[in-house]
Amino acid sequence: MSPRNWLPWTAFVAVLLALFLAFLYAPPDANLGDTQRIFYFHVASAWTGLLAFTVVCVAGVAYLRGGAPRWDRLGLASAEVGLLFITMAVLTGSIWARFAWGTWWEWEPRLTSAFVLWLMYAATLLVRNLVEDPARRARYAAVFGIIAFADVPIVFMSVRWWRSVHPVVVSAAGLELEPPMVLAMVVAVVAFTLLYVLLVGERMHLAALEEELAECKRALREGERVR
Amino acid sequence: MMTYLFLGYTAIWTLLFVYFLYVSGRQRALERDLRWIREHLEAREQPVASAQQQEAR
Repeated sequence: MSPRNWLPWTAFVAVLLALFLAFLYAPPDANLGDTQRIFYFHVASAWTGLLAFTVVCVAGVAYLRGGAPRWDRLGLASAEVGLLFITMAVLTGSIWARFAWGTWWEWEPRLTSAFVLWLMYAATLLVRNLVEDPARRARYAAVFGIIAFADVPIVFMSVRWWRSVHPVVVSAAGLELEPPMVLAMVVAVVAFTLLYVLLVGERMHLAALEEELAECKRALREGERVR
Repeated sequence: MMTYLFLGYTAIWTLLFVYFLYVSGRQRALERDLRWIREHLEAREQPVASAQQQEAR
């Protein structure tokens, strides 16, 4: 059975379960009340974004080694979907900050490094639009994706390396949350990871269709030239 | 207080929905274009193939 049959339903059920746990099962936070529930999907978005950019790096290395077009398609799909999830993480983080810190944005290590990450992957996608030749475009995008990956560990470690107002969720002591909150967070992370896989699959299919269309158009033009 | 919570969730689901819509809409458009081009290519190759068959006879 193809993943295209069962994956959308699995992701849908996982998202429903995550919403149930985040809104109804997990208790409200002692200090922040119900608004703290943004946290579950904020963490899940950020995790999925970082996972997506790790996949971009792996796909870039694989493309440079073998040159198979499917790795380039994976890199493109993962960069685009990763940018979507990081945008979600930055937006929800900003809304959280407005409530918890009284400001929409703070130039502190975690937020700044996440913003730089967003810019780098937006640039990766822009590079693809600037280069005409498909092989050269894929090579540039692979190199750019690998370089941009350097910011992923910086984003993750920023709250540990520098003084930051951003809360540390995963520390050396483990998760600093009550068990129902941990469950809600883990299920949200799983649901968003499934959504990521689903979206990357669809985006890769779209990229394959774009390549096929370009090929057909070329055949059509060459045929007309022969006539 | 709940405004921020709902604002956050609205942002997430709106972005996901718009992206889904973009990908599925573009897929449909490309599939339509591909079908049209394939039909066009097949229609053009048919007379050539039948002429080759006649020549072979």
